[in-house]
Amino acid sequence: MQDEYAVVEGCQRQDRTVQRQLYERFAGKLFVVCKRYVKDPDEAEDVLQDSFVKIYRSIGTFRFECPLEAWLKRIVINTALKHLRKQKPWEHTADVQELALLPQPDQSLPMLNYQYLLGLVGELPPGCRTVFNLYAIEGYTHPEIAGLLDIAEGTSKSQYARARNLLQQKLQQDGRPAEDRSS
Amino acid sequence: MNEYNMNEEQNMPDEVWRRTFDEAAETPLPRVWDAIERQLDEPGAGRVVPLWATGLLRPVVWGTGLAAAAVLLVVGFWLARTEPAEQPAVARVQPVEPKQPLAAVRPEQAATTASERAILPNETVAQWSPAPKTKQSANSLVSTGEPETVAATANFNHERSYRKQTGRVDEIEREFSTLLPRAVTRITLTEPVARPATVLLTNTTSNDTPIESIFPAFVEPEQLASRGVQPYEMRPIQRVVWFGPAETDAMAQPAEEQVRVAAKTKWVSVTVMPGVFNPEVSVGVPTYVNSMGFSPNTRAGNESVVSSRGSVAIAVQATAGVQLTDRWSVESGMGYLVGRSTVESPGAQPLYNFAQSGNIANNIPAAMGNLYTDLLRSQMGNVPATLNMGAANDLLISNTNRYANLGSYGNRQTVANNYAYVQVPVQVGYELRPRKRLTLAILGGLITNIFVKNSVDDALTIKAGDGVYQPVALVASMGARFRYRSSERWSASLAGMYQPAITPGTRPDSPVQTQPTTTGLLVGIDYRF
Repeated sequence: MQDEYAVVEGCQRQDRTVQRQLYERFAGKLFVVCKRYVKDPDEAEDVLQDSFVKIYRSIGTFRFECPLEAWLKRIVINTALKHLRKQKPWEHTADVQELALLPQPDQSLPMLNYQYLLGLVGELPPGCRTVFNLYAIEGYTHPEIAGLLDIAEGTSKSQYARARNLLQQKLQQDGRPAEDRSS
Repeated sequence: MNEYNMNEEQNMPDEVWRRTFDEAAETPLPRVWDAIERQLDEPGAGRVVPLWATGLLRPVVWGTGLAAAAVLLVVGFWLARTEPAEQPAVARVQPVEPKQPLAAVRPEQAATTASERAILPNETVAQWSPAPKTKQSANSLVSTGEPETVAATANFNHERSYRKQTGRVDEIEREFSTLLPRAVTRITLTEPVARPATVLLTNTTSNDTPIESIFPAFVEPEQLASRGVQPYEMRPIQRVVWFGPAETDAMAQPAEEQVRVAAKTKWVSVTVMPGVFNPEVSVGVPTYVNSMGFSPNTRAGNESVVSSRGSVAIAVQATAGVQLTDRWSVESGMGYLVGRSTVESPGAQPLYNFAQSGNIANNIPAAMGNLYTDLLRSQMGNVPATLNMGAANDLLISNTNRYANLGSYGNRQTVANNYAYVQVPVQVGYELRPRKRLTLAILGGLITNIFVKNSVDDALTIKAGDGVYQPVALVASMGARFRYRSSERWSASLAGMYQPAITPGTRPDSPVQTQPTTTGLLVGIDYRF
């Protein structure tokens, strides 16, 4: 934790060596976050790049009110959403209430290889992918997602339901038990 | 209370998905960092709108700005007047019950707070800050069972609820309420937090509780005492206490002393410097005056018999520079200086009087018209007889074996000079405003002036090999330069420069001495690599 303060303060001084340390420490995890939201690897790199530039330029506002990693992740998610917002993948989605179809979270699944899961998420339509990421992985609620993406709450729910169905279908199509893909 | 949590079924994140991705990492390609570094090295991001395009030069805009400044001054003055002389600080604080989550603050309690706040003109927006310094507070933080952690979710929910109750829904609220991933919001408070200032939201009540018992986990009482915090009697309002914990050594260290690794940015510039060039011409101080010819009083002291006045000059330079650190830079290049000046010199009489010589040289140049020109010609090897007699009433030109029969010269004449130099500047710059779009740098260095020629009245052209002027002279250069970076690559410079010579411009044995000085306003365009 003390090291975290030193890193933040170094970045606030725009010490390039410390900035590099921060990058090396978090870039790997944050790159996966980018790839969850943006399928194209080059675009994911762009999002990561933009995110870190934002991080370095706004780290003076970081008040240690939350863990540094959560703060960094939030910026990455914001940047990714801003990137996606240009495409508006969720704009014309029908507001379908599919609560009855909402599958329950797969609590029984063991730890999976993230690359396999990343591939699954990447195959989702952009709108579904974004809602699924925000709801299932980041932990946002549907009203929060609706506010974030400027969509109806029902749209968020239907997109999530659709994502769940697609993922389950894909897992069944693969036909292999999840344990085989454990990391 | 968080409305979302009240009205919404709690989202249950898929632990498998979340855990898998939480632990996943994939190193990006090195080009990403390279791109980030490049972007950070740029002076600023975003499109630059020139000031003149925004209408800032229009009088109405200036008028609006001045009016706004006046309003701010009036409001600030009014606020200053309405502030009490001594700011009462919080002495009575209602602590949150142990083990009671902040998120569980009752709506009516928040509503009361809102109503109280609504009648307070001098309120300050309260921010709840969980980590001022040192250890954990059981009174104000919610334990999650782990001794070193607290659930920050409740705190943010509390703030969100509070803000909603008070109707203060803004961007910050939106950020907190929607973007904070609740699954990963745990804060460890066992490490000291080196923040210069922290805000504590306190709820003032009539319950007299010593401040020492309220804040032990947050701050040492003496810290508050050193900040002028005094007990406060009765004031059923919320108030914000600002205090600054003692700065750590790292924070106390001036930023200027931090070693910074700055990219060695290079640039090239083309500059034009219109200005004034004064060669400061003087003719050797008379060292011997015969009273028969001239009264010493007429040239008392070290007054030169000729004088010069500066006139327009223009210097064109092409320079290249490199930014060594955030603040230091070095630059060099090549330029060409053309400077005009006028010299006032005793002019020749209509009839020369060489009576003292008795031996008028046949080679006295017909163009001889004033002392200054004659001296220059003499140095070039064409010595008029009037300058080489040493008669009784002649004037000895210092450091020479030439005598001027000043009786041969009368009214003063003005002689035009056109100097030309090739310049090789080497300058060091120190940025006073580093990494800004508008930078200010102090410049200092040396310019090597390579003499090219001096045309005197279009009748006499003196070149470097004629033995009058030093082929190379050193000039000090100093000034201040503003540089406005209009884009990533391009910038414009405006500098005031003062360039006095530090070595004579003429040879030691020359009867005419110069010590040129150039003052000008440099305008340039720079391109960064």
